[in-house]
Amino acid sequence: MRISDALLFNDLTDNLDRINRDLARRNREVASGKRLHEPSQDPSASARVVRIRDEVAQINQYERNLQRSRVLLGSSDEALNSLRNILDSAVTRTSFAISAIVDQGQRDIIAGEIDQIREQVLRLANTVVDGQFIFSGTQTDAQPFQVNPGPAFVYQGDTQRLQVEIAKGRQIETSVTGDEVFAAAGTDLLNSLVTLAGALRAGNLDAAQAQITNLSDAGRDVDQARVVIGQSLRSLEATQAEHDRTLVALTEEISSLEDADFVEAISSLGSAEGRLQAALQVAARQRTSLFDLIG
Amino acid sequence: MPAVDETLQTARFGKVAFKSTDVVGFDDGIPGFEHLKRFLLIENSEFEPIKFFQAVDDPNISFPLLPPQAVRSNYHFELPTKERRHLELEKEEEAAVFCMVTIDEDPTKSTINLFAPVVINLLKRKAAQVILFGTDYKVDSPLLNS
Repeated sequence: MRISDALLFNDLTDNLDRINRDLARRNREVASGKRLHEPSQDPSASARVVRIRDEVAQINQYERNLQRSRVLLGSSDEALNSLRNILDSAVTRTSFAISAIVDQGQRDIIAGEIDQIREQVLRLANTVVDGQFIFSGTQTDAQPFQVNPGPAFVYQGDTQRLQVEIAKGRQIETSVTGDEVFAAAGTDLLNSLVTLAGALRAGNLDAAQAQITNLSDAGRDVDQARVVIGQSLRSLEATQAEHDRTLVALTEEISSLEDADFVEAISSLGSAEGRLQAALQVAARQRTSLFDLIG
Repeated sequence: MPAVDETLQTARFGKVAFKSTDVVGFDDGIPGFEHLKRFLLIENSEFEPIKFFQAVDDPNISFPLLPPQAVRSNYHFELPTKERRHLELEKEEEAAVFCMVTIDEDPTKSTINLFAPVVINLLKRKAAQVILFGTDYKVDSPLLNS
């Protein structure tokens, strides 16, 4: 009888999986030193170690949340900073375009610049971080604004800022919504820019002038959003510092509880049998070349 | 890359100062800890002759190690080509080998993993836990009476 190659392969990979699982379990045991902390041994110390480990794990999770929040907030702030500069230049160019010294040919050119500004704003509104849109509220899979929206740009996200827990019972907001910044009532930025370019091309200076007010209002919305982000960032840094202090205290405590056992176990290991002790001493004396190189 | 001075607060060794160039990279992680790629080899008189791989990215994780020759003077194996390439090892002298030790309160129950030694490329600071398929070495060889 001949075993098909496929079966043989399955057998091999099953075997490999099993070995890898065994090894992973073994490694976890090695790393945790868990055999030193059977409940029967020093119940109060081991219970404390377990509690501390849980606490450390919880803080590590908060620190991951903080790290991610920092990226989100930083990206939002950067995008809004760019947006603020773009809006300023849109206002400057429009003010110039509606002044008496500019002819229609120049206005058409400036209308083209406003189109480009709108595209930049659209790109900023649709900023993606880690595969998620940062200006669509909690609808992070929804692109805030379609590139070719038809008659008007319509915000596709929701009005909920993202929230993350960064310490027990402490949440921070990690985003502002596109609704607040790009589509606030009365200052719908993208549509304003469409209207503005149209007004400039039509030579309708009053209509263009009216959009300057909208752009300035949008600038205020951006400033407000950046205040929110700044508050979150400050709160984040303060919490991070707290976590760092707590982690240091906890790891020191865990080490004092655990390593009394550990040192004792190693020392009893060494004295348990002369032969091993001798071998270990030889091994210890052979300062391996690794230490020479690393040292 | 210039060496950068760093410190790490660890559970077992307290604050550890190291240079960025001291870090040994486990590109594939260690089975069970695949997310941890960077380790420091720690030598601490309190724990002699045990040495440790301390995870840089998790203060709670460290692996006690011994040179396998401490328990088997004739320990040897052929490093599979795949691993040799992975570790970019060209000469045997560039390699160091350690085995993970499971410390038990009862010394007779302490074991050493001879089946999956950690091989380190000393020059490139790359390491991997290598599985010695087809050998009789065990993951839990007794440290004593072996």
